[in-house]
Amino acid sequence: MSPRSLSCAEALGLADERHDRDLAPDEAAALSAHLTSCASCRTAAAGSDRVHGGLLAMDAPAPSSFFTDEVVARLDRAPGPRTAAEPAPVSGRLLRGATALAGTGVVAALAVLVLPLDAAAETVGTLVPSAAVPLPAVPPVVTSLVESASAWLPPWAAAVGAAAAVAGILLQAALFRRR
Amino acid sequence: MPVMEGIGPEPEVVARAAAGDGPAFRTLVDAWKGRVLSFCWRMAGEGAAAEDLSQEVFLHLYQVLRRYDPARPFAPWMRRVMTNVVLNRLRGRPERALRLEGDGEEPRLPADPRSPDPADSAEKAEEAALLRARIADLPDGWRAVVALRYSEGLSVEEIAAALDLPENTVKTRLFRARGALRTAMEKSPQGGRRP
Repeated sequence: MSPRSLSCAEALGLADERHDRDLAPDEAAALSAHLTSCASCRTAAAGSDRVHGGLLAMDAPAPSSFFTDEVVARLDRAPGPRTAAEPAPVSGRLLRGATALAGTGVVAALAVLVLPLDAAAETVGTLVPSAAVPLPAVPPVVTSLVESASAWLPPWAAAVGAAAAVAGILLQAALFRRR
Repeated sequence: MPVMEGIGPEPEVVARAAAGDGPAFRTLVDAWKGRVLSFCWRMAGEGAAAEDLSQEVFLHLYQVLRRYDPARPFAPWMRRVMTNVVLNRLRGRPERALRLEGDGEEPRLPADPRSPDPADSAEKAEEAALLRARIADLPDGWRAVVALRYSEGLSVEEIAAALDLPENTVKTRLFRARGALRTAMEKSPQGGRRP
């Protein structure tokens, strides 16, 4: 039985495919018959064989002897995979920001409590209306601490403390937004 | 524990590496570095570019290893990580910056007179240099298929799995890539000398 006839396109397809799989006997016979009778396909198939051989013969270089050490060194400089014990970055930033804001709030509250508002109002003019700010009820211990602190703090310290507290809050807010 | 090239690490080694075990990760790198470098060399060129790209594959692997499902074979997953990293990196490169060295303009080596067949050796060296330069001109997607086929000797099915492509697409790319290489070789001054 004579092999089936192939078009040139079919023959070139099979000539290429034989580099990736074993052709069935009838395919191999048909290809061989076509290549015997078609000079242009024979030339193309030979070129395909040459390319395949060249690609097979390419030898990639071996990794350098310190390749693994370099990978490990770069890993040490890079952030590693997160473990369950580590907080996610967003949570960490929120926690740090909230802590900083709380700390700043405490400082601001202490400034309001400790520093004599009347003296501050005298210093900064109309910035702090003393009559409109009622002092909250505080434990006696805190009151005595406030009184003793007020005794030795200069009048302008209230303004400085309040300004520092406001600046701290604004700074924390700006830093938090940048993160 | 020495791991021979070509043999994947034991599943428990991969599991330990995924859990953050440093020595296990080193074993994993040792087991795969040759294959990764071979692929990167075919994709990005010789020397520092290929080695740097290979290291990036392992840096990324370290980041994503926890996502690996130990119930599935490691090699196809690893190849997918490798090809994704390399193709993503090459997409952002300057044009031809990471191409293979030489690019068809390498100085030709003089034939060694002591060689048994100096003309044949010189011709083969020229042909290899020319082929490497022409591979660099292939589209990244074609080159990835060729690189996987010839760096690890993968089958069409394995290449399809590594690149998440249909097998017919892999076959088509292989056919077109080899055809383009053949045409380029025939058109070159050095090519097409043999019948």
